[in-house]
This record gives sequence, C-alpha cells and structure tokens, in this order.
Amino acid sequence: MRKIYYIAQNTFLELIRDKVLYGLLTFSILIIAATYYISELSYGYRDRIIKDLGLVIITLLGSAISIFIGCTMLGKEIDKKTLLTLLSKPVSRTQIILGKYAGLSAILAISLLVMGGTLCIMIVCIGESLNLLLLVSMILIFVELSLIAALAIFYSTILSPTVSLFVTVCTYILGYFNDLLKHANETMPEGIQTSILYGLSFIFPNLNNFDISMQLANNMPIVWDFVFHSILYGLLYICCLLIAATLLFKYRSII
Amino acid sequence: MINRLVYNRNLLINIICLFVLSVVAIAIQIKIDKKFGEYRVIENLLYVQKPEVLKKLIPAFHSFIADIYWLRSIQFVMSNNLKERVNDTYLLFDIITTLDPHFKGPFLFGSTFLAMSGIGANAPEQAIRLLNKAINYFPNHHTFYIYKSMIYYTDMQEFEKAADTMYEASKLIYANENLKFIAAVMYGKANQLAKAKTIIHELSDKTKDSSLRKKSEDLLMFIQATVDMEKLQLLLDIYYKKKGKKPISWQSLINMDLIKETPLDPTGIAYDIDQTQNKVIISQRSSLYQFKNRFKP
Repeated sequence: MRKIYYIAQNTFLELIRDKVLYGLLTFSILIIAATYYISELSYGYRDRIIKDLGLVIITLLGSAISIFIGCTMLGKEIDKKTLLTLLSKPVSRTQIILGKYAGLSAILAISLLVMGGTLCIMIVCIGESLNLLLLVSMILIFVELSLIAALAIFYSTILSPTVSLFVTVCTYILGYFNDLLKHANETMPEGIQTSILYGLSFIFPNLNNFDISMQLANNMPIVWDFVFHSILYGLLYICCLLIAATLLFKYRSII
Repeated sequence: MINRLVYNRNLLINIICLFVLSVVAIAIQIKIDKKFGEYRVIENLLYVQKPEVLKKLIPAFHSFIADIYWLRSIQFVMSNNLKERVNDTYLLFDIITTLDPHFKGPFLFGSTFLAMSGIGANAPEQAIRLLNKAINYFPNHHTFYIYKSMIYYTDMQEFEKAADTMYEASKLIYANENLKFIAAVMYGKANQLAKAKTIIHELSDKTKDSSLRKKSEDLLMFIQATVDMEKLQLLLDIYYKKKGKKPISWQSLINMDLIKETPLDPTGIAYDIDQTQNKVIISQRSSLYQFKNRFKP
C-alpha cells in the first residue's frame, strides 16, 4: 500500500508540473467565467445557463485531461525507459498501475475542484444559492472522469499512446451513444445485429449514468436511488478496468 | 547591439502583421454579416426539422443543447417578422422543449410570441399546440392551463374553450380558488350562464376566503340579473314595436301592462333604461355595476 502511495505521490507531482494541464484549466476557467456574460442573453434563466454551460465545460475538459494524461502517462515512461528504473526496484506492475491511477485521480480531483469552484463563484455572483444537487453532479462527474482515466490507462497498457488516445476517444463517444446501442431494435429490424449492439451496450461504459445536468438545470429533486446506482456502477467498472489493465500489463514486454 | 535591433525589428514586424491580419479578419467578418445576414447561423439550427431525430443524434448534454437553442430562439424572435416565419418559430420552441421537456420557459415564452398579434406570429393555434405539449408533460402545472385559457380568450375569442380550460386549471391540486371565479366569468362571457352558476355555487360553498365568497355572491346575483335583463329586454322590444317609440321609464311598460312594477336587480336597486340604445342596464348605484361589461362580447 505504501509503495502505491509513493508512486501515486510521484505521479501527482509529475503531472502537476505539466503545462498542458495548466493550459486546459486556464481555458476552462475563462469559459466558465464567460458564462456570467453569456447568461445575460438568456431572458431570465441565468442560473440555468451558467450551470449547464459550466457542467458541460467541466465534463468535456475534465474528460480531455483524463484521456490525454491517461493515454500518454505510461507510454512516456516506456519511451523514456524510466519505467525500467522503477521496475528494477521491488515494485510490482500492479502497484505501478494502481499508483499511476491514484495519482491521476488526484489530479482529476484537483482540476474538478478548481473548475467546480469557479462555477460556484459564478452562481453566487448572479445571486443564486448553491445547492446539494450541484455537489452531487460534481461527484458524479468525478466518477465519470475517473472511469475515463481507468479506460485510458487500460488501453495504454496494450496500445501505443496515439492508438490508445484514438480508441479511448471512440469509447468515450460510444459511452454517450450507449442508450442508442441498447435500443437499436427500435430503429432497425431486429436480428443478430441488434443483439450484438445490445451486448456491446453493456461492454462499453454508459456515460449517460453520470449526467444529471437536466435535473440541476431545472432544479428537480435528487433521485438518490439513481445517484447511488450510478456511483456503484462507475466504481465497479473502474475496478474491472484496473484489474484487466494490471493483468495485461503484467504480460507486456517493455524493453 | 545589431542583434538586438534585428530582434526588435522582427518583433515589430510580427506585431504589425498580427494587427493588420486581425483588422482584415474583422473586416471580412463584417462584410460576411452584411452580405449573408447577421443571424444566418440561426437558420442552420433549423436544418433538422424533426426534434425527435435531433434528440437521438445528440447523445448527451440535451439540457445544454436546449440552452443554445433557447439563446438562439430569443435572437430569432427579436430579429424576425414572426408572421412570415410561423412554422420556424414553432419548430424552434418544439426543438427546445423536446430536448429538455422540463425547461418550462420556452413553453411560456414560445406560446406568448406565437399567439401575440403585434410583434408576435399571430398564430394562436400553434401556441395552443405548444401549450398542449407542455400540459402533456406537466398535467398538474396550472400555469400552462392559464396561458392556454388566456390565448383562447384574448387571441381566439373562443370563450367557452377558455372557460373549460380555466375550470380544468382550477380543479388541479394547489390551484388558486380565484381560477374558479375567473372560469365562471368566462362561462358568463360564453353565455353559458348555467355552467357559470354551478361553478359559483361550488365556489361559495367551499371557499373560506370571505372576500372571495362576497365576490362570488355578487357574481351569482349578476348572473341572475343577466337572465332578468334578457327577459326585460324582450319587453322593451315589444314596447318599441307596438308604440313605435322608446319607453321613457319603466312606468311606460307598467302603463301598457307589460310589467306590474319597476323591476329590481337582485340587490334591490332598480334597473335603468339606456334610452339612446333602448337597452336594459344595471344601475350605477347597484353593487353589481362592477360586473357590467364582464359578460359583454
């Protein structure tokens, strides 16, 4: 456990110095801050526009950070041969994967705090109060980003950074089209193809589970059952991906 | 020194280039806006004519996309002659409300602009269509019923439908009791006095609000007065036919044995005769005078 912690700490310190991360965060802060002015065009729905736009930016830029860092993190270490130095120490490959993932998750949490904090400031600036639903949606976004990070790490254990970046982006998009895959029989004749698509909808993560922006925008009550099941689904999916990633990474030739 | 000068010269050239190119880019954009219209981007939003298809094409962030359409629809409403773009106006609001059915603003804003005759689209039927969609999503939200009723009442002059809708709203949970009163007045306007009477009876029996009860009782008396005035009007017409002149007072009708005594309204004040039009009217002294124009078309 201690070894995982040290790897995570090291990964965190390494990533926090990454200029790409600062670039993305600055960009997101600027856009979230701009929602203050954009929302003035909304004819009485300022809070809704700020919340919606803010959450979309947080989700998309958070996903960009997850995908980009998650896909390149291992590849960089392999290319620079620094992973060999690490492996020469009494550290297992499983510990490396888990440590790297924990470090990336910490970065995601910090990014989310920064972006979410900016969003909260904007909401307060227009005289609206913060509510529990906003916190819940942030938690769900964090689970979603962690899942995407796990996905990126999983692909990067078997593929090169560029290919894993492409495959992760594809899976990410499919994750949002998941419901469309599941209900393919509504738009095409039922047969083997619809069964395959139905099966695929369970293999690819369903990212719609983590989107409660509609509830937040319309100040609807929290459906705790849905939130609980979505978080559980996300955590289980992350566990499965990390187990698969460690298994694949064990047999990967690094030299 | 020379290196520094060269470096500074290069820097200056770069800054000038940047400035010139930016100015040219802005000028081109202004020219595009002038030539092709500043709001042409809104037209692009209307390429997809079926909101359900659009909803399927966009896998996530429906509420966010609805917001974009909402911002654009405000610009569309403000920048177009809606009478010439009725279908597009409806389509925009249909798209928003399909993407996010919980977004109540577009239902109300859209129906108002669709129904309005001045700067609106003057298409109350489309407004009703949008409000029916809203009622379908929110069957217990009385605001939509009120909007629908008001459109029937003011824009379509269909008083009975307006009254039916208002009465429906008044029966919803948490609905204000005043809605029943308004429905009764609307039924009165639609000349459905029996229905108006039933609602007012129902209201005055149930309400705990003394002022509303008083208002209801007055309206009930006014309904009775309306019925009386219709009968008296017939007698005035008979008098006019027989005598060839308008009666000066009720005494003229008493003299002709058309009535036995001066007719009184339910508050005990005598009805007046408008001699110029030969019409029975409520006296200004009567407390029912406040309702005098309520039932008039």
